[in-house]
Amino acid sequence: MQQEYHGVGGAPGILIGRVFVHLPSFTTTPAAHAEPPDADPAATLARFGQAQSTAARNLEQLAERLHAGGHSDEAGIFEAQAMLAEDPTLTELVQAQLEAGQPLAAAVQTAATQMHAMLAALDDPYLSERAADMLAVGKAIHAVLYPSGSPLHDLPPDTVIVAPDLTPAETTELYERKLAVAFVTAHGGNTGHTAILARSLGLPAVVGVGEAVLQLANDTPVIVDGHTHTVIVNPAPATLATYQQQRTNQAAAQAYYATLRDLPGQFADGHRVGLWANIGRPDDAAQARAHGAEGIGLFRTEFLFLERTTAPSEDEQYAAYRETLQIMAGRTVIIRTLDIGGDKPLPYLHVAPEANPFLGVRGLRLCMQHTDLFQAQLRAILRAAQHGDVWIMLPMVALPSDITWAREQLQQAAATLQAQGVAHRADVPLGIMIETPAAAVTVDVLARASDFFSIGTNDLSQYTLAVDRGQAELSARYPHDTLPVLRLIQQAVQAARQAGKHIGVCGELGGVPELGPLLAGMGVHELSMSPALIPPMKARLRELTYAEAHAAALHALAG
Amino acid sequence: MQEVTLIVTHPVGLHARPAKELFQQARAFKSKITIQNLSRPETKELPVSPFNLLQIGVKHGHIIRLRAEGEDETEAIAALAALVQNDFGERTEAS
Repeated sequence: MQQEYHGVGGAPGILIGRVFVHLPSFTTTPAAHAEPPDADPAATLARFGQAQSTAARNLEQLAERLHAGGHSDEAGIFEAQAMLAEDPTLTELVQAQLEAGQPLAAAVQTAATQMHAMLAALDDPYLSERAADMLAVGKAIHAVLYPSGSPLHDLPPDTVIVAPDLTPAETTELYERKLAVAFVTAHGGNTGHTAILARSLGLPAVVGVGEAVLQLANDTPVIVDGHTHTVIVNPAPATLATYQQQRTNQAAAQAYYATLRDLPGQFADGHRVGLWANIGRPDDAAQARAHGAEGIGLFRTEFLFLERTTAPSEDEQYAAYRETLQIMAGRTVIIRTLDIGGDKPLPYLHVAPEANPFLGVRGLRLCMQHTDLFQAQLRAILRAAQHGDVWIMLPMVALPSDITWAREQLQQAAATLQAQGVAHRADVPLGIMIETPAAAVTVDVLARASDFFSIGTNDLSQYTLAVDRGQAELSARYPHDTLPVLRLIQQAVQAARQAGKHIGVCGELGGVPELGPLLAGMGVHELSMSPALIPPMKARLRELTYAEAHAAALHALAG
Repeated sequence: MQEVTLIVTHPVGLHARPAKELFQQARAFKSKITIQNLSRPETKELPVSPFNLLQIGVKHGHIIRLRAEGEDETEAIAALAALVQNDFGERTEAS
């Protein structure tokens, strides 16, 4: 009978296959059981020491392969584990176990488990994730000592690995052997190693479905749907047929998207439209590249400022911006300066209570009240600018005087760095988001002071229609792509093009399959969207000519 | 015995590469070298090792005390203090 399990997260993709329950344990391998008791603890400790070095080297090599494949964040996991494999505490604990008469395999397990417990007891989410690293290190050393131990060798294709949780090394090993596999884990969250790695490596996964799944028999037919975080066991024929069709479509689309990855965004007739990505942290830049982004049209910097009690330092910001620019390797990165307001107060930034935070001190206006904060951000960006092509974008601009103020601030930041003898670039383009109707109707005037423009359609429609985006019912009645908003966009695009200035769209409208081509048909230079939306948009644009998109735009603008 | 109290200014704190650098440099000295995270009073003074650095969870802005005892204790403290103060060699790159 068909049965469903639901997880708390996972990685997208569908796999139709058979269950393999993987219950890893340090001591289940036959070699470890067959080992005769060791009469000489010193010799055993030396053997352990060699296994530590070999495991560390294996983990480092794994890290190097991931680096070479562009998975630098994942590589960091294994670099840290390589270091822990040779940790003196581990050696001491193993030695104590051996001296107490334990066989080596058990000593390794006990020591790694003890260290895991020490970190897990610290009640810090970061450290509990690192606690899992300790068990992974123990297993890596165990695998060196008893090489036949890995049950993940010789799995048939289309295997769905069901496990309590998987170590990063196990996840990566499966990926490297190019098996068509998926993961289902009983434990783990959406931000754990397994889920993050699976997403990054493109393997379907569902995590955190609960212990019951571990009771499944091997070879049970199963469907893993990573999009909906669902595991369907013993699927009914109709369910199976639906998923087979979905998988065929998905595979064909993915294969086609992969061929487009390194091609530019353009219409069928060759008219170019940049397809750029919106990102929220440096890690996302790698994701953007993997999806074929030609630039970053919106780098939201709020992640640096939220969930903390003090403002981020200039150095901390510099490191984040530099990392992003390095990942983008010379492609344009538009960094938006801090964009928050009274609806999301920060403990270190006083904002007086406001009746209407969306019309209050937010975005650039907040920076005007906290010039130290703004200066630190501008200095960090100018320093990072040595490492790539960075543009600075200001949020919540209504009048030319907003840009004039920010331009003076930028000059001051450059002057400070110059005086301190800190390396930087001063010739960084300064542009604005168009999200107030005020800005949208005066682009010709703003173009005298602004080097480029990007339309933030979410706020522009909210301010144009006077509709709070948070109110679902109202939003449904007054959609974003309605005539007044489209006309404002068209007016802004025409004025920017006449002034010879770059204009893009970084709001949600740009990534909507039907609307992206329409906006491109109005003449925007670039559409910026979530990385995953880029491949389908690239494919869609290539099916149309610019003339067709332009005609569709004119039709929509006529009302 | 030599000691120094420092504020960690590297953005990631004493994790990842900074932790590796500190451990590797500390290991090169003959002296016994320990570290305590004064910003987490519940943590103990421990020998510098990858696992111990994890345990004491030093983040950006935390204050640490390094102690060295042995024949090269003065050189050890000078070298390790310089390492932390220069953000583990990354600061020079920015200036």
